[in-house]
Amino acid sequence: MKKLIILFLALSLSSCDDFLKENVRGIISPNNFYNSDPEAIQAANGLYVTYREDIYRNWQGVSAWQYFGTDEIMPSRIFGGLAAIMDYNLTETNYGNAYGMWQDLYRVVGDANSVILNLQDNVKISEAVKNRSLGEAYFLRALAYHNLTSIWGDVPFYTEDITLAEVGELGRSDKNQIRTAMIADLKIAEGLLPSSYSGSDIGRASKWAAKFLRIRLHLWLQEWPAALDASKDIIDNSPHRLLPTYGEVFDVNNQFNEEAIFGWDHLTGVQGQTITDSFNPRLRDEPKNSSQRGEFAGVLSSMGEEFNGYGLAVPLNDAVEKHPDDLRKPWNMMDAYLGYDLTYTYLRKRTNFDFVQSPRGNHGEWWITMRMGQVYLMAAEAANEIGDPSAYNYINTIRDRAYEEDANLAGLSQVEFRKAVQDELKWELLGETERKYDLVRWGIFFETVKNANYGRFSGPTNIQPHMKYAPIPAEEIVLNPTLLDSDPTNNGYR
Amino acid sequence: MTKLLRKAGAMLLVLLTFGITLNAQTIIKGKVTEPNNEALIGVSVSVKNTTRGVITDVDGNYSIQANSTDVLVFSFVGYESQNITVGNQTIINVALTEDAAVLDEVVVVGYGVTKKRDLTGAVGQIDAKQLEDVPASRVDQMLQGRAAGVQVTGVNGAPGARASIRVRGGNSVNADNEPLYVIDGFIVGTDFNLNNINTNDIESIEVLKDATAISIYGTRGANGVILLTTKSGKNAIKGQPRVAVNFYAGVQNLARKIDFLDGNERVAYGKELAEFAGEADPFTDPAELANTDWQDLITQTASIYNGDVSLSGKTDAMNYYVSVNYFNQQGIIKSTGLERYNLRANFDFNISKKVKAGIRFNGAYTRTDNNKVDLWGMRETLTAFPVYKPDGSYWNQNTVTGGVLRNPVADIDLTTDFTIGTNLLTTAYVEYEPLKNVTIRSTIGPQVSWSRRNNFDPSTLPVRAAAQTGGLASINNSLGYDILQENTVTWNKEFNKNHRLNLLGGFTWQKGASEFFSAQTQGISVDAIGYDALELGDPLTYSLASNFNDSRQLASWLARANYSLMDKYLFTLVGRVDGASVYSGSNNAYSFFPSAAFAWRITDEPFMQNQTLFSNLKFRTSYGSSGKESISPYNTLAVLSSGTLIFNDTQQVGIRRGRPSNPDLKWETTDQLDIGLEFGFANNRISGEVDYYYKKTKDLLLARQIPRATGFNTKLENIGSIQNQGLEFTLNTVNMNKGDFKWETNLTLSGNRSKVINIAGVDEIIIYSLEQGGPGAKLIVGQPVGVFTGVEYLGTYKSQEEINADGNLGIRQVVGGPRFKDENGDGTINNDDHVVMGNPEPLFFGGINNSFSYRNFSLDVFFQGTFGNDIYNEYAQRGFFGRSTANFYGELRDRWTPTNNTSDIPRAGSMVSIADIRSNSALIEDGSHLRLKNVRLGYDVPVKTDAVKNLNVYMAGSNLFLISKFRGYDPEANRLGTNSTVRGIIRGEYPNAKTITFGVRANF
Repeated sequence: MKKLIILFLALSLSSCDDFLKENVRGIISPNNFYNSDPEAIQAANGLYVTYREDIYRNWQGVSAWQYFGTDEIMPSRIFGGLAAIMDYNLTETNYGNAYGMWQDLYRVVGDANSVILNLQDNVKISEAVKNRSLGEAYFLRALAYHNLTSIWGDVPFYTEDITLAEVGELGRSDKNQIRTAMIADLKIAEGLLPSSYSGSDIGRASKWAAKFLRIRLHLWLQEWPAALDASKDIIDNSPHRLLPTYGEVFDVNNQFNEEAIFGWDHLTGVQGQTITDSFNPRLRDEPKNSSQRGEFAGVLSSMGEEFNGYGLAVPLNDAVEKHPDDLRKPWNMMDAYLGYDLTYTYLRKRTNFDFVQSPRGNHGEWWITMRMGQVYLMAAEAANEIGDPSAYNYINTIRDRAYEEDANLAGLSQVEFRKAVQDELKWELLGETERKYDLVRWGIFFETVKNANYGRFSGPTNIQPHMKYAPIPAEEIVLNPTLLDSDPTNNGYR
Repeated sequence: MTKLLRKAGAMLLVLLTFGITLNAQTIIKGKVTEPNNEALIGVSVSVKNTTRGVITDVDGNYSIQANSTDVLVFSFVGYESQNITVGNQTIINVALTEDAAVLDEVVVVGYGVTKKRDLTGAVGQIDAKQLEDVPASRVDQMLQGRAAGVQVTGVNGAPGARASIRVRGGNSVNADNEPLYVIDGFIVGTDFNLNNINTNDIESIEVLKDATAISIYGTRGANGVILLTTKSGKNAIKGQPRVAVNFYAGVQNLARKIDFLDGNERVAYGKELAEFAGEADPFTDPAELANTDWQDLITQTASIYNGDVSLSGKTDAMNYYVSVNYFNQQGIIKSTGLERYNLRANFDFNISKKVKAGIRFNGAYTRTDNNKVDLWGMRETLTAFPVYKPDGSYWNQNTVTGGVLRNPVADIDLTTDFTIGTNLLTTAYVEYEPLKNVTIRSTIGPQVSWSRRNNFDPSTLPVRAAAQTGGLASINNSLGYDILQENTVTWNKEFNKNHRLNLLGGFTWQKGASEFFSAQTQGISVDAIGYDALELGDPLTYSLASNFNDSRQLASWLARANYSLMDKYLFTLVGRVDGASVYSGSNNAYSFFPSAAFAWRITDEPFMQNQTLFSNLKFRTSYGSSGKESISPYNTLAVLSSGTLIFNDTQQVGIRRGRPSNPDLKWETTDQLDIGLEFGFANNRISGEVDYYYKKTKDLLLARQIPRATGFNTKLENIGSIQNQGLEFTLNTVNMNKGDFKWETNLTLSGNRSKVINIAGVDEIIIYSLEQGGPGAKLIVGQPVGVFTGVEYLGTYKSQEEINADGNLGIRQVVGGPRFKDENGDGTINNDDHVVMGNPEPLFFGGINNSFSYRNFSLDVFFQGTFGNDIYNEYAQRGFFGRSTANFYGELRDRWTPTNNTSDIPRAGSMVSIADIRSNSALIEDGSHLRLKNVRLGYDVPVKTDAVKNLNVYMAGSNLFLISKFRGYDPEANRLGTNSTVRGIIRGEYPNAKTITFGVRANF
């Protein structure tokens, strides 16, 4: 009996801790990562993932803060999901997208901090890969802060890999300090990133993308000479150039054209995007003469096309009314298709009706967020602010392409020129990029919305000057009350 | 039993020696049976006040010499003895009834058995006999209404679908709340596929409910434990192998059909809608319209059949039970079904006087044809759409949305989707008695399960043909294994008459893991290839996934002491220490779960000996804790997660932070108090149990909200608490026992009240949201778990004045359209207005079984029901409020129109955006129901051949009628299956069938 008990105890007590130890398989732990070049590349890739998956993949993502609620784009019908923006009844609690975007952008920040920390002095990674990946991390982190400061103004700012608890107690930092810090980072990134890519790296951030973003930040800070210098550098020294015609830029068969500097790529079949859906019409609205619907659908079908979109991102009434009769108009304003009049006017350049190559809910179009057209106009803006006459060259280069006849500007006052650039940017980039940020930056956001024709939306009625920035979501303030320390009104919302 | 046989044998010898010498006696013959006429073997038949006696043979027959004045005594363990005066009878047939005073009944508990009279805990026993011949593939569904405190809900009506079980309410929020299943001592976990077990192999089912019963299972016991014990040959007659055959076959039909607007009505509604909402009429072309009853087209009268053959027997050296089973159930939705082959082999060997060994083996092969038509997905398949185009091909236009229609008839005809599963569940044991009263038992058993799901959507399927994407084929493979090794020592000691002690100690370890692999491709151009050659698909569409992420090890020490003082005062102490690998990265790898119980057999007190009211009265109480492992492997570790990105149309992998590390995680712990009373009146013709329990679960693992400036939104922490309390009532009565007629009733009735105490410091957590329309279910502090939330539906707006009075609420408001209450009065209807509208928890639930027997006939009628629970009918958001793309309930015939302007059913066209129809009280329906769950009518065919010992024919029915006001198929379903907190949400689950079967049982 005694022997048995001893045997029993021996059996039971021997090396239980070893037995219980987890044999980690099938997961990646920070402790067993960052050991090789491919792993460093994957870590940098992870930063793009958040942008592609969460920020620039679904139509209601960051676009709600960029071209909705401006003088550019609206849904074709009342749509609850955008009411907070189109009706400007935005509060601390009524717009889930705000909190989602806040988290996603900070996810990039936190991930980038971790990538930078783990790669910086890592001897297992080759110099070339380390440089590129660090450059990408600096660029993508700066892009996150660019969006955070553009949407919320002052925000928590951290660039070190600090603990979650520490992050959770950060107050708001001054937006301009953040921008200045990011400009420094972008200069580092420009030194680390290559000028261009080939093969399956095409689409990564180049030094020119970093420089483009730096221009945007200089403009926020009204650092005009620096903005102009950087713009000039891109125009003179980068492989990018304006394409001869406006329409070519949006050719779905030549997305990575010379004009495009940076964007977010998608692939049909691999969690494609829904942005194109938002611009595509839906058949139940079209054509204008509904008795022709069956016939129209048949004609579309014979071309391999369908109107199967959401129709939730169409040019704002205001933009439809004011669009100049230029060469861009056919790409910006589509009010008829194949000879059928349409109920709504669509932003043709961002549509794709090919339901096989670009099916509903699964589109592969690249979302170009940085292109040469904008560089010229940013150069024009910066030059005008410092009285540099080259401003006319830049804006007229764009107008040359945009107008059949000579439409060159000359002899404008600084104020008139400023207004001309603001309008030119609208028609050049309608529904493409960060209109809202620019309106806020120019200080004309309130008056622009107030005076725009919003159709059935009540934005112009409800808009208040403080709405240039979004409120920090109430849930975040509950969890971290220090966010109210610097501004107890939460951007004027309380 | 052997002792009894030996004794009976001795009596037979006595009879043979002396019996013949007596004269003036006649030979009395007869047969002793159970009430259902099954022969009772080995019954002692003796002449009172003499030493004469015989025992019945394998057919239950006996023959004994007796005088007319003699009194024959028929006795058998577990049955009530009967005394019969011979008189002038020469044939005396006797039906013995089971002893209602089942005090010597044995109850299986964790790591052992105990006598019912010695039991200190709350254990529900289910008579497997009552489950015989129920036409179902798995045992969990059969438990519904059979045990108090055990709430069983079918997840849906598909063949082989599991049931979700709550023993005394749900304890957890994030972890699973299903009970632990233990089959012949093997801990198979909470999600074992019970289709692998032949229900006819089950001998007894015990549900462990109170703290002392479950804490022996430590970290896995908190949700209750269901012990299944399979049959063995130990009760067989030595040298008399028995072959038992059971076969049944039957038909199943859709029990209820949902009333939808038919095609013509739907078109009329659509036109009204378009006109009022100012939208284009989608139904302009009569050639595109039809009147189709899709429910009829996708359902069928389905067959079910089952065959069992078993062989059992016993010799000096061993006993055995071997059975084979074939089960085949078609689904009532076309091209679904379940087929099973099963083999069981149970052997026990007596190796020597001190050593015993044995094995329990179960092998099963199942093939499940998975459902191809998602009834929720069919909501846009309007009754106004045709099935076929004029050229005979499948209709594929959704004229309302302008997109491609997923045609369910085509899905059924063309797609393939089935799962093949095999499972081996084995335990071997050896028992050694080194000393008197000491038993050492050691068991080891592997479980291996493998499943493969093959799926093929051919290129000709309308949706795929339209998109020109070729065929879609996928294969999913998974392999799981478990090894359990347990060692226990028991010591039984009777010090003297007043002190009995039973000690158990043990050490066990278990290790399990699962691996998964899947491959998918599109672009298969030749449909005949199907899923057989994925490499013929388009390489650009290849998709692979594999993982090995579920490795779990547990090492445990357990102990139990039972002490009986004067046979009246019973004490139990139980404890278990578990160490778990999932917590090895934390500071809390080991945890201890103790409990204690006390019971008092009041009727054994001297002062109770003179009363006659109570034949049994026992008070018992227990208190203790049990745990819940509740986290997944590696949950304590920081993890990087992978995602996809695209550069130049090339897919690449990106790695980002997935989850922070969490070294402070620990077990969820449930403390439970139980107070129970067992009672029996009128010589236990009326007997039962009442239990009150109170459970509080603390350290619930919840995702605590953290500032999102971290990039994360939540972090898992042990920060919640839930309480459950309830009453359980079981009553067994013999209502009538006169001559050939007997009527017995078993009733179970229970009610559980859950309450959220603390959820991570917040007031509420949304646990279910509509796709559009806000939160539908929440955890709210102070409320029951998973209450339904929304705004109140006030009927339709009858006039513009009413709209003006409400003001602009930020949603569409039209005369004849829905009117909702601005609950918080802030002038806007939004998520802030969602208040509690319903509760999925029944006030009480239960079941009642009535058994009747008359001569050769027996009838069992079993009702089951719930009362006072609510159902959340998600379909009604579209089907009642009139979403332009959906099918509508038939009640919309009476909708508001300018001429029918008192109707509270919204007018056509009142909904433009689904987001305007928030979660609301019109989606919440009464879930109370009463169901005639099972009926069995049997007849014992009197056969007198040597070959056939016993023949019973029967007719059985299942789900024969249902009383319920619910608009959908069945109030019993759960969209989220076994989800721990989201209960009672229904939108388009597989409907339940009404089943009628005919069968025959025979013993050879």
